[in-house]
Amino acid sequence: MNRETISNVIGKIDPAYIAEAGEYRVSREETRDGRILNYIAAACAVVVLIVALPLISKFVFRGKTPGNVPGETGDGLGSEVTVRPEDTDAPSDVLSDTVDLYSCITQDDLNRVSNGMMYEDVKSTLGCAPCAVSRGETLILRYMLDGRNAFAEIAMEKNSVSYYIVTGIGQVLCSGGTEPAYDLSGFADAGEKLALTLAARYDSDIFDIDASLISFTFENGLDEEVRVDPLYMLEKRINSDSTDNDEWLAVDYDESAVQSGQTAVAPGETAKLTLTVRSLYGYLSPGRYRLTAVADGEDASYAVTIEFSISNNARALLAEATDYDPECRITSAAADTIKSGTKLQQNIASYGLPAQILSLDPLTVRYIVAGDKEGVDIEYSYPAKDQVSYIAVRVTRREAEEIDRLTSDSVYDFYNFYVKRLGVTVDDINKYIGESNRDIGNTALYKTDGGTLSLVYGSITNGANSSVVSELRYSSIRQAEEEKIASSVKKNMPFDAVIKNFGLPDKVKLSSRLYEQYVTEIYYFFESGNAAIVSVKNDANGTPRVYDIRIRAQDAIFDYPKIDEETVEQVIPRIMPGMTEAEVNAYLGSPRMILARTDAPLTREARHFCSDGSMFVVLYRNSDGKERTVAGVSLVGDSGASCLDLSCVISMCGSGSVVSHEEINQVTGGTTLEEIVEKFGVPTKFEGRIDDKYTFSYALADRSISIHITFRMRFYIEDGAMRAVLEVVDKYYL
Amino acid sequence: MDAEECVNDAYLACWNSIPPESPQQLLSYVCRIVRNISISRHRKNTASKRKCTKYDKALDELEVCLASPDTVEGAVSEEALSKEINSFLERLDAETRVMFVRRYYYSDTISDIAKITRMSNNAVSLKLFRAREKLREYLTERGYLG
Repeated sequence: MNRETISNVIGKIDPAYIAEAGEYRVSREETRDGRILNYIAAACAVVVLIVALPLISKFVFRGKTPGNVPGETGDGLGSEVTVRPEDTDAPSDVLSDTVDLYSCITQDDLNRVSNGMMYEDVKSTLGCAPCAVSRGETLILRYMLDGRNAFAEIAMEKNSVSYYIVTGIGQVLCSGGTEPAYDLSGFADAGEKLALTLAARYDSDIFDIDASLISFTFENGLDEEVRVDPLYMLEKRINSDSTDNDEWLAVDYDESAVQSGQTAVAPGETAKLTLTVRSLYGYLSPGRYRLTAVADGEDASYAVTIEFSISNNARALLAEATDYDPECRITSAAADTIKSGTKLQQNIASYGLPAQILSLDPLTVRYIVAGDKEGVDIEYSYPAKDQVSYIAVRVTRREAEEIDRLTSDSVYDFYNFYVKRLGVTVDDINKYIGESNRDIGNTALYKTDGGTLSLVYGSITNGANSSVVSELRYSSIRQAEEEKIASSVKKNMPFDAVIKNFGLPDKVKLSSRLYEQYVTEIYYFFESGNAAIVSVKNDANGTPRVYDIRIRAQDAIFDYPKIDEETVEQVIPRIMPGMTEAEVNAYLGSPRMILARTDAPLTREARHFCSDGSMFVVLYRNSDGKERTVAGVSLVGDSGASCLDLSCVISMCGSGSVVSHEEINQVTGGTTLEEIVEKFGVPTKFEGRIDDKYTFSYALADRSISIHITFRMRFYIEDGAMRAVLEVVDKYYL
Repeated sequence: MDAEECVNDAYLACWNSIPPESPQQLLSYVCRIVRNISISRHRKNTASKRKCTKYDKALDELEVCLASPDTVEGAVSEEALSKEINSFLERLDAETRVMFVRRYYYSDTISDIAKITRMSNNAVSLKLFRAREKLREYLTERGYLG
């Protein structure tokens, strides 16, 4: 259920409940002062009532029709609300391709970071983070602290540091030990609440890799049996600077791990309860937590709360040993016995501590093999973070180091490989140049001897639903002069010649028209602010050749042609089902993006972008293998309008008809738009589209008000084809 | 500043609409106007940048509670869902109902509700948490959540 729906529904709460909540006050205690105050208040109320009576008489009301509340747009109060998609992107330069992947910071460096610092300040103090992970709204920057023996994490929210936690290897996993419950306030009356006690104990024997198994003893000090609810509330403290004004945020946890059934505890007895507080996304991040459980008695419920800290999780097991030795070796025979599915604890027990920690998320460690100098990388991944999910017995260590720093030649080879084979997948790349040094979000970073190679995955699928590289960047500094490129690069020139003459491009971008044109664009950026864009297309022999070259301002590179407002208003309504793709493109130009559709009968989705920020989507189908024809169209985005299968009706709105009350009363739920138009003519106005509901209005005969009719789309299959009709879901006067 | 403008706008909207409108419950009517105007203002303020407000936090709680992989919202009208929510509220005890409405309709903070109800923040959070769970069960039983 999305936010808008929830907001709409909440907006329609019964007015009686709204009034009840608005007027709610806990009755004043029966004290002497309280009674006096009550008398004074009553007297004031009488006076106010007398004075206000004439005014109140103005509000002698008889009834209310839906939609008569100002600000209401027709389908409910909440329809005003549009919460934009959350922007969870990290600051762009977190993805910088110039970061030193192995840089370290000192404790003194870290001490200069404080709560509330902006990202830019953190960056200028500590440099770019070698590892950045985005979790929801939280961006976690990770720095290696004092070599490889510790790590520092800085969690940032909304572009400022909200808190930061240093998690050095060797720290205690959980703080607190045996911790008595301190907050027993709940729904019990005063005097009773101290009768319940609760103690939390963290036991290393049952402590798992994610620090998520919490065992505590529940002691019933009441004189009645209580039943402990297996559901509990888990919260995390989001401010760490003060204990007086704690702010807690609910944490989603994995409810599937919750034991079923309540646990009964007799008076005076204790029960040992174990809760798996694994969060929804796998494990609990470091911080202070509060867990509130509920015990139901005969007539009352009691809330009991414990607090605990998690200062480390997966890497804590690695941290236990103080003799961590980067030079330690395992035998080749031992390396062969490491299997997928084995636990981290098992591996540490069998092989000792690994020589290196390559990555924290996912946790990846490396054992160095003695003798033949092979390295074994082991990745422990979600959802079982302590379970080996991936083992890479890599090439010899020397070769591994070479892969870690690609040479310019290998980058060149890769470019060549990449350009020749559009839509190269992650697997292809891993086979070709090995795995990246770091993955940040959807970007894989490779260190090279001349800079950093960045591959951005995703956003384009190749029809087989595997991620392909959609963008490639290289951080080398361009020395070539733009005049030289502009004059010497000619059409049909082999792409290799361009690279040899002008070096590796700064950026390579796949054409979004993946299935037809097979054009790749490479970019050279110049100090002047211009860029050369060379389009490369394979010839009949599969050799990439220059197809086109353009010099444009860098700022304008992504300012691709958009459909102007006039076209949006005049032309788009005329795009009708049945038109051929060529006819559509003649009206609108080539689409900016084409996506394959496999949901029959649809075969293709073309996206045209409009200057007002909206997007015009044309859905195509292949009729009997012939030319693609329009199956449906949709205008989505800022305009809020839609002409999905309605373009004709919408385009004629304005010439609308006048209807009578009697006529419009024939409209009931389920009546289709087609039926209504046939009966009453074209509506006066198309009010717009919200979600999947379309609203039209007809003027009523006396012209004083109009009737708004809201339709919802219903799909059905007829003769093997998917069809859609709009059916009435609501109507109201305005 | 925003709050003051919302109050002004609400006064103006009331003045313009009454009469001819004749709400049966003045408080609810005015609350709706204020809520609409406030949400519009909120929408405007947060249209181009991310902000986390009390309103967002309250919505987040409900969104998490009512998340469903097999959502049927496309087939269910908001009107029907609203009726179910009102029916659910009717089943709650008055105190919990007040907390629920204050939290999710008025977007009050936990602290504000705790002051009104004279409970601890923790007790309010817990009561709301249980109410949300009950709501989820209620809607699941009736086929609104998968």
